Amino acid sequence: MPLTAHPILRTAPSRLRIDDVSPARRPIGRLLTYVRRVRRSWRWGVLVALVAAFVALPFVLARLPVGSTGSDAAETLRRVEQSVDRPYSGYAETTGTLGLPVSDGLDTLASLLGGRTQQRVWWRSSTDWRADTITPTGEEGAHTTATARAVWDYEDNRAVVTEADLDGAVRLPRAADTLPPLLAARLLSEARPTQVSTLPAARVAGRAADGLRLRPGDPLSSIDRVDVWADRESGIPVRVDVYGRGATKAALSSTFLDFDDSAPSASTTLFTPPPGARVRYGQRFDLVRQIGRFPDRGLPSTVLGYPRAASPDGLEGIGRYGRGVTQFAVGALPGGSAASLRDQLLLARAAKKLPEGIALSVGPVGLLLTDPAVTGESWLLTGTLIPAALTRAATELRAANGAA
Amino acid sequence: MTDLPHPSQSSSSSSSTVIRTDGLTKVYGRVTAVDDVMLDVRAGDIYGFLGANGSGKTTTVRCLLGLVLPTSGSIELFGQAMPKRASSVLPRVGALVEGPAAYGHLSGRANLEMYDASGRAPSGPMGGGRRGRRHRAEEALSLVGLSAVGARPVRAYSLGMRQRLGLAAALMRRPDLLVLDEPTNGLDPQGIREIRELLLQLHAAGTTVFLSSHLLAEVEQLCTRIGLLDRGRLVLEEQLDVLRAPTGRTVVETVDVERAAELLGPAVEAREGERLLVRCDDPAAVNARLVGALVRVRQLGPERRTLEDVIDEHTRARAAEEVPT
Amino acid sequence: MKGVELVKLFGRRRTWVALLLLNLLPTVVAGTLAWTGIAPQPGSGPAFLSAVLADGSLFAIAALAIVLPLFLPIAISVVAGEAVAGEAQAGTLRYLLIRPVGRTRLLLRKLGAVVAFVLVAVLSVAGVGYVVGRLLLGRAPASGTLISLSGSTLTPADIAWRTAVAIAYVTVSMLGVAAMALFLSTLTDSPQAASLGAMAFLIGSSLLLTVDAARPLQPFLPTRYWLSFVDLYRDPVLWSNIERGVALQLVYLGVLLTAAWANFVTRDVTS
Repeated sequence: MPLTAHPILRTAPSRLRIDDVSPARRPIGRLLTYVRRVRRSWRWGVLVALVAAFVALPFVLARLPVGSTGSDAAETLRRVEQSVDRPYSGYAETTGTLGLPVSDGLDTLASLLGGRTQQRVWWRSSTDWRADTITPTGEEGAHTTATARAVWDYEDNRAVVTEADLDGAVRLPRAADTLPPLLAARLLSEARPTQVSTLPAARVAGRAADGLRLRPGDPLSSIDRVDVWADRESGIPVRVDVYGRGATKAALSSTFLDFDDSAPSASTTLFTPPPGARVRYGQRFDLVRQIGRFPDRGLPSTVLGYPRAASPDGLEGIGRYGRGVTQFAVGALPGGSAASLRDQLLLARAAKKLPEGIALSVGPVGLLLTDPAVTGESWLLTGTLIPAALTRAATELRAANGAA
Repeated sequence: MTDLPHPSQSSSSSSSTVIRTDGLTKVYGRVTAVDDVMLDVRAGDIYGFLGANGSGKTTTVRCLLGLVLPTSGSIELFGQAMPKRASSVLPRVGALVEGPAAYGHLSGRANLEMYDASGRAPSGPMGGGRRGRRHRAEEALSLVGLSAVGARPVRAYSLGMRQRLGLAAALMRRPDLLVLDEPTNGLDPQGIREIRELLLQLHAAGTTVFLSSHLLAEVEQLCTRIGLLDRGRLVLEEQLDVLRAPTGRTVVETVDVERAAELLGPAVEAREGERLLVRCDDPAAVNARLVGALVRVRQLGPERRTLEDVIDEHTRARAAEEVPT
Repeated sequence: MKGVELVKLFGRRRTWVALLLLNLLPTVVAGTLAWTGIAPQPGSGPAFLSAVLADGSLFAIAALAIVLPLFLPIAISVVAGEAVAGEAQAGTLRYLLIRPVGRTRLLLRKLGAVVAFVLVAVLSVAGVGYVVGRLLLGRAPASGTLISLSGSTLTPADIAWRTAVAIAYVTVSMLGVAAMALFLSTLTDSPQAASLGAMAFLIGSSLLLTVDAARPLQPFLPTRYWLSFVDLYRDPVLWSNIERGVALQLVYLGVLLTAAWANFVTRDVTS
């Protein structure tokens, strides 16, 4: 008969147990139980400790004491200036937060200033270096020598060979221009020791780096400050953060993830087009050069007090002005291009219609396309200027042309 | 109480303890599945662990084998703490817990060999190697009567065959202790008889058997000692012989009920029809008395309780206990 | 007795079906490529796929790139998710533990079997890819050279060691998913739940990689450096992402395996 049929008696076991239990066994049992519990929690404790250690590791590494050489900002600035053309190699990441609303012919620039770009660079000298822009499934490598510049595009299986850039030539910014050493060289070119202050040393790419902050103090400039960290060993800038006025987040930040200050081998920068690849000689399309080819429509020799920079390659349609971090370009657009750009700008939410034309500010980069009815030409002004400065420049342009 | 010494009892007093728990308790959330259980299983026992479905038998068995970690209390197998010393204790234990389990795509033989290979091999001449393993598997299969179907995939086995295969796996390493949870589930009467005989053989060869079951008859036929679990509590643990020992009363069946009752006087405790219960542990004396007085006795003997009686008795006791509340 | 888990895993038809399916997709891709002769626009499809029409042996790497983002991790989730939960569901887990097999040891054996499966899967995809590529696709050059992403020409020796490292790297990349599935497998008695959980982990990680707002999280996502095996075919090799990828996977492996261990060793086996 199954036991389930019986309602079973519930009695204290001690009453029915024949064998007695020695009283000493109970406390021992309790102790064992306690020990077992501790052992269980101990295993989870190992896990918690492990997770904590891994989470803390990057923070600890970033805060490792970097020591202080006692070098102040002026000394760091001097070392940065001296480091120009020292060899190095590394892996850098540029993060831009500027969403350019323009696209035609500017998509490379838009993604450079509005996204994340990873580059590898091998710098032997200014006439022998290579910078590769890395994408997950390809790369675009630019090899520069004294006479030529070869750009290899893996995904197009194509190499484009052009003459080397002339210093100060008018062209669109390229990815390599945002590499910390090149960006810092441009931004610090006019910096005086009185303009810079010392920042705490930091660890960049695992190396100690001394920091400096440049405040241009130019009332017309849209750049509030530039923070630069230079490798303590070599003086080469390894991190650059550019801040617009009133911004807490860097408009453009470029930093090395890996950095080596020894000279890369010559075979690294050398480029021979691989067999089977298409090789083209000549310029790639560059919108700025396109505009520059137009004749000079009456660009004044100074705008807002800044002198016009010389154009080494004879492109007269665009004038470059500025000093240090304050840089801007002016050019007259032909009617068709102007109309199409005007339509594009009007679609941008941040665009403002002013009496002088349409203005747009993307972080520290300002842009103004003037109304030909007011200024005579469709002037395009763009650069690191505050909006008020752009409209003042437009007025100066009208005055200059009215005088001419 | 006059009681003859029972052979199993005398042996148990000298033999060592195989399973011993102290205050074993397992709490799942708010449910106490096993509550302060103190088991005592000795070498040479066939221990019947009785309890209704859901009374905590399986949880207790799982605790004993280190599968479930007790909330509190301690367990010792062969005098060693579980689950701490599982690696040295468990090789001496064979078990069948809550139904057999095997890989369906493999044959019975392959399952046994794989199971054997997954743990440390025994030392000795048979050793762990391929030949020793094959031999052990073959031996275990023939013990449970599966030799003929050893090559068939387990997928094609009936429930009874799977049960036998599980038993074969438990027996494979000739354990000193067999822990069997409902081992006759799914077996036909013939199979049940075979398993019972096998267990008795193993017991005779010195194996201690811990048999958890809800079948009274099975336990009564096989076991030397029982433990009774009710809603997580061990309410009874005793030698079966003691439970079924003469109660110190004599049962008399006679056609001359009135005369017999008169003769025996106050010794008569109860009377049902032609049946008398006499408080006297010597049936011979009762018989002499009645026969001497020419009372026609139909049947006479010491009163013995069945296991069912024991539980019935408890049932009555509980019913009485619960009335006032 | 160390091989028991391997015998168990590879003695199962399901394992071979998974491997077969894993190799089927790249083979179908190679077939359509050979049939139509149209390679995907460079940069749009999986890595190297645009180049396989020129050199069929490249298909070994392209096949890996095809199965890497989804098929391979899914197969691994299924196999690793089954490791402990499958035994629990079949009821064999309790008998293994009674045998006795120590719980820590069982976990390590299961991990070993899963890693072996990953390795076999990766090697088979690369091997089948190579054979299929040679048979169906451009077998013309046979020069044994390959143009790196940087535009230089790699010698056969270069290709050989880079491909060997790539196979090893892809294997290591899968450890995080495998450990996650194994951990979940110790939490539940349902192998399907463990596999699905690991896949959700994987898909969540892939999704967060495409969300800009999650950028601070991205260096810690398990799939972040998966495609970095492509960096091996740059010249010189870009090691930094590969190093980060390996370190990240080892961290995931360490943490999840510790979690699996802490859970499994202290867990009640009630299946």
